[in-house]
Amino acid sequence: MEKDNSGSSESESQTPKDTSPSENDGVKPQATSRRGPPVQLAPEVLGGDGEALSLLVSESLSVYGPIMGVAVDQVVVQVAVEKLTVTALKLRDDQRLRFNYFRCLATVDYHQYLEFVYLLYSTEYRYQIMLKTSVDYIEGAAPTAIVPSLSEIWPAADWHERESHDLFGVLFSGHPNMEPLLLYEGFEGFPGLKSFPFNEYEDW
Amino acid sequence: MNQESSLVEMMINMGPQHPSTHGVFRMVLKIDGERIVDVEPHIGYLHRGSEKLSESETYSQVVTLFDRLDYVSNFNNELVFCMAVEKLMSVDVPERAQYLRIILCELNRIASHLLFYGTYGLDAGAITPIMYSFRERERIQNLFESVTGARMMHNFIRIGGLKEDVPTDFNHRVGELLVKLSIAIDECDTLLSQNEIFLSRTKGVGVIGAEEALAIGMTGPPLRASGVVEDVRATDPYQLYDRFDFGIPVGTNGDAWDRYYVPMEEMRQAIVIIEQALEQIESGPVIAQLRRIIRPPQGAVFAHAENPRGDLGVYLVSDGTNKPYRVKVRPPSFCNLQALKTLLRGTYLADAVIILGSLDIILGEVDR
Amino acid sequence: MTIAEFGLLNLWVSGLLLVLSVVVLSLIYLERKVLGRLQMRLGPMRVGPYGTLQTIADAIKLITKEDIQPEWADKRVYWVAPVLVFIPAFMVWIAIPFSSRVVVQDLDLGLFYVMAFLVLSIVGLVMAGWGSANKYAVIGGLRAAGQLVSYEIPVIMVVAGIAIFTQSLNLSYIVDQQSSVPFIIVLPLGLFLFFVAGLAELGRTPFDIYEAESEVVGGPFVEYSGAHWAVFFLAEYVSTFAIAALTALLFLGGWGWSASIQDWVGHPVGSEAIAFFEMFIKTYLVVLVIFWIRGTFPRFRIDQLMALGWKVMVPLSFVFVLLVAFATFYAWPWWVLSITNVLVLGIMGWYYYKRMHQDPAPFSIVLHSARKVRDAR
Repeated sequence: MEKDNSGSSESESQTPKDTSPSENDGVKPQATSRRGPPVQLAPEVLGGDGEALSLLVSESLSVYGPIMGVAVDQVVVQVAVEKLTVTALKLRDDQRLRFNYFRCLATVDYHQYLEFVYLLYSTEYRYQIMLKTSVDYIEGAAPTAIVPSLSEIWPAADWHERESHDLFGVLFSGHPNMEPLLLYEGFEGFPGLKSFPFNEYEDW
Repeated sequence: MNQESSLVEMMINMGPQHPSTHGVFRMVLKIDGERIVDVEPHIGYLHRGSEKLSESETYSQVVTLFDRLDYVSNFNNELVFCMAVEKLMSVDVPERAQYLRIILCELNRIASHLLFYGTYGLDAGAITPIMYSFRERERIQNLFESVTGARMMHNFIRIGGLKEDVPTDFNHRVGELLVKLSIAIDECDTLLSQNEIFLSRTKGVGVIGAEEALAIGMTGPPLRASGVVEDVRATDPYQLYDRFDFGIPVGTNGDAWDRYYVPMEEMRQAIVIIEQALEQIESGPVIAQLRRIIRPPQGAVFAHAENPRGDLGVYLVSDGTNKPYRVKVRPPSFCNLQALKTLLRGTYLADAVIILGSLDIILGEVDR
Repeated sequence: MTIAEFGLLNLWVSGLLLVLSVVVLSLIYLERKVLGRLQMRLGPMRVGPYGTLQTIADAIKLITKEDIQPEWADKRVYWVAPVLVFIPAFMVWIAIPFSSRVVVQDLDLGLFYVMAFLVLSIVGLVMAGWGSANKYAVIGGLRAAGQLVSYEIPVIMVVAGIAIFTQSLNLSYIVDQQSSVPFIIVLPLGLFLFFVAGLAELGRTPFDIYEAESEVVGGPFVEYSGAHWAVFFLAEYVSTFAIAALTALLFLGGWGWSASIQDWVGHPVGSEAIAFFEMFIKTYLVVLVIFWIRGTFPRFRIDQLMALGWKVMVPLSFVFVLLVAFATFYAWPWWVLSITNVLVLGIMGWYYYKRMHQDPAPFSIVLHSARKVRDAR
């Protein structure tokens, strides 16, 4: 079942587009637009360097069963959440990869599962990579998901995980300080989730 | 905490309203005499929910949200988002638009660094540099007003190019402006950089090494001041930056003075880039031919650019409709602010303001 | 003292208060204009012709502001502090002459009296900081106490040196001693020490860390509003003018440079007026230099300030007193003193020059070529 997302016009066609969820980016196909061509997928323009990196990473992480993919021009590695810490360690410590710079943690809500996208960078070889993992969650439960924290591997992940906890209700086990970061104390609910009532008009 | 230490240590709150915290930012300092023992930064006073808001706005409307993230470098923010969408849609942005984007973004870089210079002087106690630098900013903002109609929130860089072409005397005006800006930057440099009191306040203060800076996730001028040669314009060139030859200032000590001087030198290099762009620019269209309703294909994309404050990244997930599914912003000031705890431990109370100022944060993008 | 003398004294003191108030108004206006010009802007322009009534508007605003007292403040200490800061600043003026007859009381111990009262305002500052029940105020008050007490020593040493040299503490006499050559030429080291330590005494940039706006937001004055704060503000400007007047008296020759003109005029009131005018000009010039320094320099950190005071100013002031004492004891001609002073200043300047330029890596910014970085894959 597909849910209508992000408050688009109500008269969206209800027939879901049955493209099998591409492993590449994990985006579940949503309702199509009312008119116009069917929804297309993003182009994949991974150059020669990108493909070499993809091979290198899949070889290096072969033990943990990664699923390789492409996000327009970046290599995507998807692993199960149990293998997240060891994968991260391998990515950081492997001499051919050396992903020493933690750029960002993006949390995306896909209604049944939360996807965590870690954007990593290697200053030595100038490799960029997206490390993805998905965790199923139940709406209304708190914490919404439990993910191992990467703040010991990359201290830069500290505040990104705190923000994710704040906005999405995710608990990062092993994180030193899970205090609210962006929202004020006493805020109820997790505004990052799609289920948070955001677009309905409320009287103060 | 035993009885003795609780008598000695004091909690000081540099509250959200404070002349030197560069926006609504709160630091709770635990001090022992004049030394800082620990710091607890509290952010979120300017959290406006931009990321969530952009899920209910069309792509063209999201550009205006991005304007207001880092509210002193508007063009750079718009550029990143437009680059992300263009990557997703494989749009061929015309060359003239790319050149103009570069010129506008570099001018905005100069304006942003001038603001940093002025406010940093104010933090150190010098009340004159801010007047000089804001006068130069006025010149740049006048130019922006003639091009886009607004001094700050321009909404000019659109998906596919620019909103419209620049006025006919643009090249001439920019050329004149660059001459005046060179003189002004040298003047500003002479006023503050080698002043003995300023040197004694900033040299050796708040030192962070290259390895630690990379581990903690710093970016932009503070990272370059610690000796790491990382500049998105050179390591991952976007738009047309691979056609220009410019310099990247990199510091050696990683102290507050280096973090102050790297933006000063970057201003000069920005002038170099703009001069080269003015030579290479030709007439042509300024926007690609796109459908009116922008509906990128399904997928995720990451785009980043070198903002005046660092590496601004956007992770965009699209589901095929005319509104984004998820927009995640990676703000450079947010990442630099994480280093505050490491930087402030063991320093003097009066240095807290100097170190915070040298990180050059803008709360608009820290809180989004 | 007869009733008439008492009445005359009252008249003098009231007149002094009036004149000082007008002077302070003009100083505040002058400061804003001078700072504006230094910063490439105009300064106040709207209130009155060329902004001259700006200070009066500010004074009205301050007086009509609500006077808030923090709840936990120690009421008596909080109330007395501004008084304790203002009264000594004003009392100093009783002994400062502006010409040989324009002085409230020409005390024989004039210099001693002035120094004693300048020191008293420190107590008021600490009381202001403590009585405000605010951590920032306490920090500011303690910083102020430390700074002011440390910088009293050079000031007093220089004054002692001048007293030794002129064998008198009477300010008019000291001015008369400078009729042949002003002390700026004889004792340049003394001028340097007195001026810099005087700036630190006043709490002016570059020594204004304790009231720094960008850090402890007003220091000991943070909880004072309205008329209470106006008293502190007034006291600071009165002290500034006092230090400037002292500099003019002790080092710049007071009213002695126009002696020939005064003799030529002959008329008692006229020559006094000319002397007054000359003193006035000199004091205002010194004040202008103080404002100029404010517009140019950032401020010192408190530990750098104390280091400067104790490691540089205090030893130099001792050297100064020794030099003056030797010169007076052995009755050396005045130019020996002048040369030795300049020598000491020169040695200090050379030492600082060496220290600043001995940095092994003088410039720490390296420019990398973007093209090389791009291609260095």
